[in-house]
Amino acid sequence: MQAVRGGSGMEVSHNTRQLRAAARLLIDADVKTKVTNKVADLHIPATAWPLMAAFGTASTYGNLRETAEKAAGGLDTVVQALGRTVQGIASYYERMESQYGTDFDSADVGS
Amino acid sequence: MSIPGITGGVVSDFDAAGHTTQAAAVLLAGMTLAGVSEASGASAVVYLATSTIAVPNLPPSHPFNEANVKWTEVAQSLRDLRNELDAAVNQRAAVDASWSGPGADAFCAYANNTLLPAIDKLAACADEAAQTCGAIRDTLDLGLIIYLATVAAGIVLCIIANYYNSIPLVGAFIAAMLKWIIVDAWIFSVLYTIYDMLNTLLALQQEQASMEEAMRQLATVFSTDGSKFDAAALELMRREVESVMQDPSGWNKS
Repeated sequence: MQAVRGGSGMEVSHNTRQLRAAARLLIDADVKTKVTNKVADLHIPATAWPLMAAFGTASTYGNLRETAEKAAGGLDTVVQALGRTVQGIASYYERMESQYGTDFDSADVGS
Repeated sequence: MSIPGITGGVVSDFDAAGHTTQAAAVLLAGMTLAGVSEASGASAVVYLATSTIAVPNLPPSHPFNEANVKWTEVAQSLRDLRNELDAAVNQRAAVDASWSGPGADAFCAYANNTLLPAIDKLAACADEAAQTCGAIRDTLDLGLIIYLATVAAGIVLCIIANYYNSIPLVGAFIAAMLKWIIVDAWIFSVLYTIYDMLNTLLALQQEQASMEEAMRQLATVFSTDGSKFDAAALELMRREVESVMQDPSGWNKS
């Protein structure tokens, strides 16, 4: 098993580094800024499109925007929580590898 | 500060001022045509057509352009996140290749079967919204260009018609008749332009159907029963697999 230095400077296995990278990606995704907040600003008042209001396009657009905003909010919650869970596992492996070496594998525990 | 129903979202106070300016420009163009159409008596008809048909139906397109750009950015942000997450989970040297066991499997299954499809469907919604806003922007721009072009043509033709005034006795009558013909043709062209815009916007029902379909698809992944949209459903599904994921013995190096 190839050992590499992780972001914290501690030597960790390649696998643990990948797990930590996945956790960092999820935690840093920032769906709130990149998606949710932008979608919240995309409201279009009815006066901007008098013709379209008559055909329901304005209301469908409004429904889509509200649904997308809620979905993005839900996505943000999930991505953050998932990142924290994966980070917890990565931290566990970091601790175990610091004690037992980078070859530590939970599959071997108790065997 | 936004004025409810008038400004807010992509329509700023500055945009509202732009709306007023464009309405004034449309009105001014119509008034110019009304001026040169005299002394035929047609100016009242031109004024009526301008103020009741052209001005209310030719709003500025820039809010829709801004919405188009921002929805496109949102769709791209979601696609970037999706690709990065897919790479972190599924590609070589990613979680799926590095780890095995029930915890790792639960994470990969949740990411692949729930999270990535949800991001895909949300990006599809953003794409549909961007396309709808872009189509509305193009329709409004084209309507304004055609309106201004027909006004310019009407002004030029009315000025040319003035030359008939130099003909003794019947000249003024001929000029007036020609101006009525020009104004009638112009009103017809304005009505046709608005009718054409309406037809284009009716064709947007297809875009509307696409938006509704995108929302339906989104509901299928943001739902616990596969039909009703529930923003908390993804989190509920994550919690269901969390206990398996949190157990360190479920993450074994492959």
